[in-house]
Amino acid sequence: MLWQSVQPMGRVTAQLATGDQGMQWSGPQIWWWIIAVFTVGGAISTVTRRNNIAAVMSLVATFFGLAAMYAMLSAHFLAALQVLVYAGAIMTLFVFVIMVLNRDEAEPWAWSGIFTKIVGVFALVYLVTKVGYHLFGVAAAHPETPPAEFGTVAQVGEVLFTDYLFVFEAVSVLLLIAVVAAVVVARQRGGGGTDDDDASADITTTPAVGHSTGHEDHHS
Amino acid sequence: MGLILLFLIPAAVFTGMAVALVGVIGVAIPWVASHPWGAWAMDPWFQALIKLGLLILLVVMPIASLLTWMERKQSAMMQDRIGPNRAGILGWRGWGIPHFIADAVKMIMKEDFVPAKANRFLFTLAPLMAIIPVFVTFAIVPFGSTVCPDKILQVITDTNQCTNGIGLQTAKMDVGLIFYFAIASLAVYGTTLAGWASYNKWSLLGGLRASSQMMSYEVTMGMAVLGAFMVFGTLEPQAMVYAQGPNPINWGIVKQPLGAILFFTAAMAETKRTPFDIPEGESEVIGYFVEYSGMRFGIFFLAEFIEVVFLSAIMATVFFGGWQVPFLYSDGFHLFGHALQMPHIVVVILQTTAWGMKVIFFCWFQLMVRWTMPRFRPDQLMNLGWKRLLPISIANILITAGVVLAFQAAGSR
Amino acid sequence: MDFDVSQLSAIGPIVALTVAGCFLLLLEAFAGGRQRAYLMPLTLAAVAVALVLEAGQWRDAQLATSAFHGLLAVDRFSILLSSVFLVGCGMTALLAPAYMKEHEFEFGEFYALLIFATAGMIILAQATDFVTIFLGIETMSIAVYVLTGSWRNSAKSAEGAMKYFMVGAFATSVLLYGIALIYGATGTTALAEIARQAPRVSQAPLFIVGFLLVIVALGFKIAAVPFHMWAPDAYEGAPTPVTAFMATTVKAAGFATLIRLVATTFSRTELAYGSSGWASILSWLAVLTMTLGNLGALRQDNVKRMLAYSSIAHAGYLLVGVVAIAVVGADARGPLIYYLVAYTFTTIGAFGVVAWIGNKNDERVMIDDWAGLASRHPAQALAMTLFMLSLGGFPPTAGFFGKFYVFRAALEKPTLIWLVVVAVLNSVISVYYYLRVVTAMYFREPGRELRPLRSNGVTAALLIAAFGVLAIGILPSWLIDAANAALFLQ
Repeated sequence: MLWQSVQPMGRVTAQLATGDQGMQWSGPQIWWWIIAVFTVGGAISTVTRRNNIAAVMSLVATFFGLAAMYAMLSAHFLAALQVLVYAGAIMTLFVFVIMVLNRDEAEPWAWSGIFTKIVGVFALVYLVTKVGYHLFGVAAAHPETPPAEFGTVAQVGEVLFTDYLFVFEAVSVLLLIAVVAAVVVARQRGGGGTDDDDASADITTTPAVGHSTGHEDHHS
Repeated sequence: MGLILLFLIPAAVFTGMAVALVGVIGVAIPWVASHPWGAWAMDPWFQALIKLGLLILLVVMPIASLLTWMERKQSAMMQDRIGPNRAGILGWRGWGIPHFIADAVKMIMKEDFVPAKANRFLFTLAPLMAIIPVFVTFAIVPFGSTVCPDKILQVITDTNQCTNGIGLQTAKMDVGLIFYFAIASLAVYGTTLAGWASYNKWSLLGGLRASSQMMSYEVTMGMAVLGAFMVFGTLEPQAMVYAQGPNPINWGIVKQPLGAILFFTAAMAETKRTPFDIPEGESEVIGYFVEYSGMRFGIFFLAEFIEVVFLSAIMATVFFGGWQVPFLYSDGFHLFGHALQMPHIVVVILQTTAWGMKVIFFCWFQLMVRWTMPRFRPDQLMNLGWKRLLPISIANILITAGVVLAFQAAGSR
Repeated sequence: MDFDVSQLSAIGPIVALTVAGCFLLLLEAFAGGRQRAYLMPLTLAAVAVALVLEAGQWRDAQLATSAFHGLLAVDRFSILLSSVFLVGCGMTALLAPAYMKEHEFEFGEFYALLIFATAGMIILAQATDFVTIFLGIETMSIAVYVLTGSWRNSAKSAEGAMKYFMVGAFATSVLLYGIALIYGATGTTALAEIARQAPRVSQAPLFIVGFLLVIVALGFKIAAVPFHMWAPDAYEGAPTPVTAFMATTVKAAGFATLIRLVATTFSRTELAYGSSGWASILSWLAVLTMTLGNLGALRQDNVKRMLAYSSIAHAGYLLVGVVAIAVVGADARGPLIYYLVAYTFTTIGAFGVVAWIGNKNDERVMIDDWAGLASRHPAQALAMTLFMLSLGGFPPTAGFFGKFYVFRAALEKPTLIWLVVVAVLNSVISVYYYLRVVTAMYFREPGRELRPLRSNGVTAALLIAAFGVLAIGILPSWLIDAANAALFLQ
């Protein structure tokens, strides 16, 4: 719904306000600031929550903000995929894993490593102010309205299968490696490498399957 | 006889409401807009709001509530019982129909209980996360073609075309069904969070089962409609309906029979109803909502039935021609060279009626399945999803792609 | 259709490796342990096929060409480096089976991951677009993270893999952020187009911040100080053949990208000099990397960890060569390629000896374990001596000419004399800990009984490494000529 509501506002690129231009608060700018604050707020909340589930839900909020940003840039297909893949699939797996592990809700705050933490905070503040200082000098881009077919499924598909064909295929290899890697890491194998019969069963068992089902698979 | 009645009553209600909605959109709003004080009525945002709001309030919510009655009555018939027949309004018992009102009153009046160690915020959030996505997805459902306020009584022909029609669909989005998948995939949070936030082992187990099941079948569900995307060349539901046309030979079920079956199966698993009710499994874990009571439980309950309606709507749209009536074109029926011209308003009403009938048919069919099949075991469920449905759906994509390519090659030659 | 089948020859080696990797996976999945003995020869066969395809490209690549809409280049630079990766992959595969069997963590996916990682490196060497660079880095890294942690019954392996993964993921996000900012400044991810726009954007804050982030991310990948903190633990924890692979090919792949970026895309003077120019930054990184790497290695009694620090120090020497690109231009790539080849043979050989010496539950990596090795296993001791001399930069080994060429390139203009002085001083320091191993092997009494691996594969790998070190050390001219002729796609 979000991207639908911002759809007709055209493309907004890097509308960082520069004080000297005299602020003209247009509709897209207001939206941009709302979404930006929402996105960054979600991200900050993600790293500051001590409760795992709350952190994950904050990250979901961040992904929604990102999707809205994509929609504001007229990339509607990308926005839908952002919600589908990140908020809908990956983050649900996060929640799933947290539930399976079922660790303590909150991790206690510890004094250990306080020195490193302080140094880290200072480094972070320095980096953020430095980068922010540079980036705030960026001149506001002129919002341009992209052609009507920009960001549609057809256009994304065309680009994906011509200009970026190699990347598209290579990404599938990358994902295959990630799957194999996850299986190799997740496989419980005590000591020797003799229980080979497990190998085929392990590959076909997805991480999403509860372990009782994994056991059943082994015998079927 | 009883089963037919069970189909007809909701169908009548549903279709009537849908036609009323078409009336509001096609007649009432243009009437308001025709006055100088009512120009705001033509604002696209206002119209979208009206369309979605009324679609949910007028059409979907009543039928979802009525489905609770329908389910109880139908199960009773199939099990040779009488079923609900006590509740009455001033003595009118009407085959137990007032029960759905009684149910609602009961849920609202019950104590709103939150377990002591539950996470209050997420506990409250979970039912909303379950129901809001389902509402939002209705934005893409086309419940009719286009209504032309100026030419309501005229016959729409090639020479007298509809120029400033109002589409009977809330949001025409290029991403179409991807939007549905995106939003529907968020419904998982409702069940998962409910299971986690309740601070109850059984809820947690139910939530785990729900999330693993929904994630597994989402994959198949997406894969199953890819074939339809390729055949119709679009992802947008309204465009798909137009691509299917009034001739049933071009409908999705003919061109994508395998896809239809796979999609229906996978989407039924998404609704978490028998035979896929492992997350609830009354006899095993009771499920993610075991700690919920009152209206919070009611929301989960309602969300499930709205999902049933939505699944039916998508089945009708993608595979059964949506609002298309067989052989009914925009100017009337055409069959074997004969033509029967009809005014625009009749065509639109017939089309919306057809949509309503199709939707209710699939609701009815889902209830039949629900009371016919026993529950799967979790491992059977996973085997079915990953080892049967998914490979078949991928094969379906490959075959469809080959056929589409062959047709294109033949066409370009 | 604007897809041209002839473009496939540009990715021939990548395709060959990918297909082989999938085949190995299926073989492992369906044939299980029965076929395990065939996995290593099959890996070698795949490497050989890919090498043949590279050789075919070399013949055709008189002129550097671009493929897949500018995503990949086929030039002699990429072919030479790809061959280095392939040789590294093959030698690792030779070392692996006996090692895995001895330490009881055999698994067939090892070879598939090894091959996939190599394919990722080749993508990286050929990449001429930030999209492909990112993809290559990820393909390589994910496989290598898992290889690092593949030693299931070793806690150190898990620790190393975890650190490597965390830091690697962080580096990737830094890289992506940098790419995003550069894209924001230029509106493209293609390196050639960015180079074309460089005069316009080289002062733009978006571009400068983005470019620095990319340099930092590559700093993580090549384990330059201060982005090196993962390296000692990951190198020490990983199974030794994997350590050999990581210390050589992964580092070389990072350098391949770095060299291509600074020599083409970021080659403008205003990007190289100044307080935030890459040449200034990289020269300081080089000093830090060499010095801290050597100081770290000095303190180690653990030979494997010592070699890990030594590989950090070598990244520093290589960085001197990269800085030289700013002074003498892209011609400085020849010495770098030579150094990478020499370093690959030497380091794989050294780690090969480390892999050879250990046995189950007892890696025998402490320097005391090596005492008196020469009296019992003179051949291996001789090989190790050779590798140590090469790492320390003694003639007539390959390591000497590597350092010689790199330093000579840096000395062409007087501005870098100070850096070369630091590098030479560091080389002198490094001689101490390299020779410490040699003296232990030759001049100390044997300690506990050794039960080293008996494997033709390990022997073959050591022979190849020793031959390589000597061959390009005694006859360096053909390699340096080829490397100097290895043009970039401009």
